[in-house]
Amino acid sequence: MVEPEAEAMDQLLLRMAAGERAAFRALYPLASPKLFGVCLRMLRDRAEAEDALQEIFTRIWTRSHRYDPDKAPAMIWMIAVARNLCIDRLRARPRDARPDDDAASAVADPSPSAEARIIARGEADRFRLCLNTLGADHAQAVRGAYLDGLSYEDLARRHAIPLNTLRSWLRRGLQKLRECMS
Amino acid sequence: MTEEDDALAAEYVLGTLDDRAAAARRVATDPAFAVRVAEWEMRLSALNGEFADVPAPDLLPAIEARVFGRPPRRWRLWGLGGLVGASVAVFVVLGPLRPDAVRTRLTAPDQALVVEASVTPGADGLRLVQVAGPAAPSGQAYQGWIIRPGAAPESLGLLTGAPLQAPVAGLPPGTIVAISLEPEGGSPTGQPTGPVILQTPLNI
Repeated sequence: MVEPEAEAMDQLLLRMAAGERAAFRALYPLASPKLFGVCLRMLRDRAEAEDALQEIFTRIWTRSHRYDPDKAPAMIWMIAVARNLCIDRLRARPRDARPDDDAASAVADPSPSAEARIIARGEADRFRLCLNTLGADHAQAVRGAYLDGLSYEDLARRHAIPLNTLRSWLRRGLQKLRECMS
Repeated sequence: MTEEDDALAAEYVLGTLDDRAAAARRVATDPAFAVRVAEWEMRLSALNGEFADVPAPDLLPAIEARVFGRPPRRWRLWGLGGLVGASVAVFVVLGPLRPDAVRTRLTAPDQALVVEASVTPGADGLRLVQVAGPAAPSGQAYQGWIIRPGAAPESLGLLTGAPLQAPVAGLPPGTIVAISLEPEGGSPTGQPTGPVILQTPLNI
């Protein structure tokens, strides 16, 4: 089932692609809470998250013509835009400003949003099942990278594994994840 | 597309890939790689629910200033007379169409403005294309609308010279298609605010 709100966001992106500013204005209140949540979790700095959110909406407007509703629901596409920007910003930070384990683990896991509860009934259940079959360490690494923007370096430190070993270990995990979900 | 490429796509989406700029360029130029990236975005999107919804401050004015360069203007009402008096000739017709597409021609009394809308049976969407005539006056835009019987107008988007494919479905008989003149960027309210230049029932 497609949520009415999700379908509305698809339509708004298509209207933005046709140059309609009112669609952009209508999208902001619908999409900003989730995208701001992404920025806050990944950047862990409110001022930077607010600046990132402005840049993300700017990108959403300028790239709306690339959005294809047949390929991805609007929110998944927009979260990909947001995560890419946040990760680029994290990697551009000076090394000593990167998170240590305490800072990363201090971010509490929020309760799943309405969207999560709906998706969780299908694909996400399967994803969690597959993620769990990889083992707790793999699952933690995937979540740390995807949700908190941790780099290989951060993960190597957290899991106390040499960098190159970690890279091939995580790649194997991702491959297994893909096989499990296909 | 190799296993290595798929692994790169996975690492790019996960965020751990070192050379992100190269992967981003490849997404733009290599469709097969872009598909792999999109597939990983879908797979890993199962984690998206763990990002909390957090009310964001109203950054829209700042974002609009960034995107559009200046705050949106206040809308002024424009008379249709000036537009027609200036012999504005606008033709909106359709790009390549299926032969069974049903076309509707919208014509201003003096033929200064002609718009064609088409609906293809069995396919969703309504298509508009401008083929001749000047663009909207500076600072303004032509905006397409449909009005289902008894309902408020729904925006189809802006007519900018390129074909406009609007994703509307299930249009009942009696639906009206209309073009209004709006501020640049479209109606600020989501409803027509400027003069309705053309309108006619849609042939469906």
